[in-house]
Amino acid sequence: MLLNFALCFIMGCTASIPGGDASDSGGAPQRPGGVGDPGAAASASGSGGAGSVAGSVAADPNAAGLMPLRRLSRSEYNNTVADLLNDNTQPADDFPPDESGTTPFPNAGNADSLVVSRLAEAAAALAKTADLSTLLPCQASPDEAACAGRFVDEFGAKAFRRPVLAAEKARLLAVYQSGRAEEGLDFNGGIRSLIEAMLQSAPFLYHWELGPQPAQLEAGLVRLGPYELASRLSYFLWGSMPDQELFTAAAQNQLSSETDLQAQAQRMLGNSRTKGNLRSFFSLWLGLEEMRDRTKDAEAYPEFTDDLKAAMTDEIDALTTAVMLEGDGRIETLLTTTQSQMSAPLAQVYGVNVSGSGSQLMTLDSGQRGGLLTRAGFQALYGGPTGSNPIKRGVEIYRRVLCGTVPPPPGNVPTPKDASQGGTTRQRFNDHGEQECARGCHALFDGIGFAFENYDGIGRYRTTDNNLPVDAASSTLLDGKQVSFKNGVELSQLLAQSAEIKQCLAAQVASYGLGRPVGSADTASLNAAVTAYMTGGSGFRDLVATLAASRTFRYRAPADGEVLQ
Amino acid sequence: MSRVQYSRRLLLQGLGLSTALLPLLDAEQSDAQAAVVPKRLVTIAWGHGVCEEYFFPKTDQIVIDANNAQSLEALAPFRSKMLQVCGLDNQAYLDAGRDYDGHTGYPGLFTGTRDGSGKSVDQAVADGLRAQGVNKSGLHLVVGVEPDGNTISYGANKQKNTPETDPFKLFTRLFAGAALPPDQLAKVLAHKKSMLDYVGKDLEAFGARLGRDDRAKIQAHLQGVRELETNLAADGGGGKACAAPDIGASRTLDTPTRSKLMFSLIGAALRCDLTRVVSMTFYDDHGKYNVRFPWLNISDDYHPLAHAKRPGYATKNKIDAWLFSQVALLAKDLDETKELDKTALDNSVIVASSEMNAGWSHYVGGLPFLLIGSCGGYFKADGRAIKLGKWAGKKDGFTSAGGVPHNKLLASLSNAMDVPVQSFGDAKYAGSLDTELR
Repeated sequence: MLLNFALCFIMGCTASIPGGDASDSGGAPQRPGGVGDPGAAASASGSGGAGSVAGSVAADPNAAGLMPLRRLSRSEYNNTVADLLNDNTQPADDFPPDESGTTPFPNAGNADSLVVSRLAEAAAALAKTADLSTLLPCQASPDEAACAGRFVDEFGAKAFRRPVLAAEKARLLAVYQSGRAEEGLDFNGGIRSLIEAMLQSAPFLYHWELGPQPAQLEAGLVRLGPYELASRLSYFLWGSMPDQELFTAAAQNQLSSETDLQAQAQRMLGNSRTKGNLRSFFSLWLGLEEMRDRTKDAEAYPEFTDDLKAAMTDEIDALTTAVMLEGDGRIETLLTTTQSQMSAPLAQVYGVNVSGSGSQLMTLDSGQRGGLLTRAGFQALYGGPTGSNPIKRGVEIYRRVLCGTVPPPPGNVPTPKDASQGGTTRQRFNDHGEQECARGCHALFDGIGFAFENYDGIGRYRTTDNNLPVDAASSTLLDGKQVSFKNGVELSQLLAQSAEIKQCLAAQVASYGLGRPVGSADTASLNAAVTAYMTGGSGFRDLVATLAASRTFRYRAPADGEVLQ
Repeated sequence: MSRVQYSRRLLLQGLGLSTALLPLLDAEQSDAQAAVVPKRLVTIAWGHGVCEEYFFPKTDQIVIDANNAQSLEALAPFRSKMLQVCGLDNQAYLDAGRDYDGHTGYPGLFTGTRDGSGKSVDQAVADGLRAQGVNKSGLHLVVGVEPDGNTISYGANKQKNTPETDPFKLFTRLFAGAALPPDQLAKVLAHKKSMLDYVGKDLEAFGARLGRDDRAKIQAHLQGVRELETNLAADGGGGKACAAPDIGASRTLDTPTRSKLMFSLIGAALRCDLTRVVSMTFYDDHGKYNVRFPWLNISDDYHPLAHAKRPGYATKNKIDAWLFSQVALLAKDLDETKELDKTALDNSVIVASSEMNAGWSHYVGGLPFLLIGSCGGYFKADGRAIKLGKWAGKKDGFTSAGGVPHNKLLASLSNAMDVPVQSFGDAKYAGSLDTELR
């Protein structure tokens, strides 16, 4: 069933392996684009380039990227109202889904009338059930108006994550007054109206704590103020608003220097809240969120139940937590360790035995398994409905773990042959990838995907495929050189030792914390984070703290058309 | 329009309010009868195309034949009020080299642009009607069945209109006002108005100093606020007395239930003249692999099924048959509503299409447009299959371009709804299909 190749056309992948950028001065390779989007992160200091984050090109140490306006995402909204109002009803679960762009980290989309009405409903519901006794700093008597004013100042400062401006206070008190006078609300009703209004206000909904004061300019960049830094830090590490300690530090202007921020970040990293939030970084980075919706062919994999899926993501979740958040923090360990928190549903897939219904720590067979990429859940997530899918696996590892960019496939891709026509999965997909139009792109990631052919559609280890022996020996470009490996375990070890993987990790974490793709303006900050990772002693945690205090977090490039003064 | 039974009990149950409020409710409100029965437009889209061998008839008549594994069985009772329009291409996409971008076809399907950079026909018609003084809070309903972020409805400035996919929220929006005593309703509305007023002023102040791109986001937010304000000011959200459908109380809904509820709510809204323009983004997974139909005993994913060509046609047709059966629910609802000497279906036009031709090809030419209802007699909807352009006179299965930009159909739809235009979407593709379809 050969397909009409006349239809397919190259979508921007050249036939040659990338790396020929004229500005490349050797060292780490220039993956095409990386996690970056050069258009989105141009710096004011003009250090251009292809958007590569591989760092060897002289990176401007003073550069900082843009800070595009972002609305609170669904989880940020839920976390923030939990902190602000002690409300755990998670109203944002009803909001339309956040939108994924070019990074694995979704952002809230534009607010259209449906979103505005959801925000209004949520605000009304939250205001209605708020426990005023814990929120009011004063009593209605003797002076109601004064108390309402104080409420705006004190509660408002927390809701807006910065002191409330005079004009904002006036608008809010007008809401209070019309509520009392025209709607006939009592004092508490008026206070609830204030809460309802604040929760629909832009300073609450958007990550922008600048306020009215002129933006502080330094050498063409905007230096973020203390309240902006407090929020940037708290949303990065907690996915929520600042705590009292951060607000106090901001008020006392103790958040301006790199040292200040490093210290706060380290304080926060020691907190279990950070661990809880950074688990979502790993989940999004690796795409584990999608496991919920994954289905497999019921005949091929009847064991792929919801229970198994949950066990699979639990195993990887436990792994990333144990290594990156609690252990040595090294991606080298994450990619090679054979430690596993094994549970009963999963044991069958791994061919091991566990006793009891909980999970137990065990060591996997190092001939079959290594770290993260060889785990059943990861392979199942990027397997196919009836078997492995080397292209999918290759692409996802290439994009997520090596920060490679791949243009979307052309719309008329012919499907690979079916298993009934003979051949191993690799042979059939190789035919597909070898087509004239496909070679340019497929050369980037097929080599990676073929290494994992020892794992079937749900990540079970196998040595035969369609009654033929599995051939997982392959090669790919890494750190600028073509490297060979005999299987996925070996590839993982090579990836672990590479320079690229650390740079990509830093880029992904920065992308998560900044809420946008990274670009050339962020390079110096990313390099500093990688250095801290290599020398700091806690790996990932040092990387996070250094990023949080880095130039591109403390400064931003002014936006086109922005009124700075 | 005849007066319909007003089931306050059902409404109150739907709202979770106590039925003790019943005695407080006034006698039914009644609007001044419309001198002319209103016309309505419903746009519907689903993903993954059709089984083109079966879908496009070989004659000039729509064929709905169970033996032919046709997916249109459920629409058979309405065949004589339908038009099948064959040979329309998404020319804007073709000219932009996006021949096989079916999976990202929604931005162009009802906008007639290459990238969603224009209003979709539902938005344009609603805006036109509003400018003519049609003052309804629910004038333009944008709804969907799957809360997956996809939409066929676009406002100006590339604004995607997020579909409402929660039947309970839609119910509340459409019918809540009518259940409240007028003074209570007035209080609720005054409060909402005061809030929106505050939010608008707050956004304006906030956006004043932002950069251009950021300001555009605040503009979009403001636009959302303005739309809600307009709706509030319209008929006060009260709506008129009308039999609301019983949507039950269970909040955990499977897809077929949600679909049925959404279609019955749209039907009620149309029948009750609470709305004139509905956009229904029925089904799309944007080419991802997550969509299954267990209630049809199909365990395979929709996407690979749509790619299976011949061996998979029977299964895909089964899915498509279910999709069209839902559209048929709406057609039936409207056709059973007498409006003078016609039915609500005669006074409406339901336009359904997928964003691609055959599911395996992803091709954006030869789109499977179906029209149900004549839109108040504007169209000659009489069971014909109209073959346009290069399809004229052809009797085979079609997978290539017909050569007629689908903008022309969109223009005719706007004309039918009394918002006359010379062209719709990208002005390069001017003209309408008025000659062919009337």
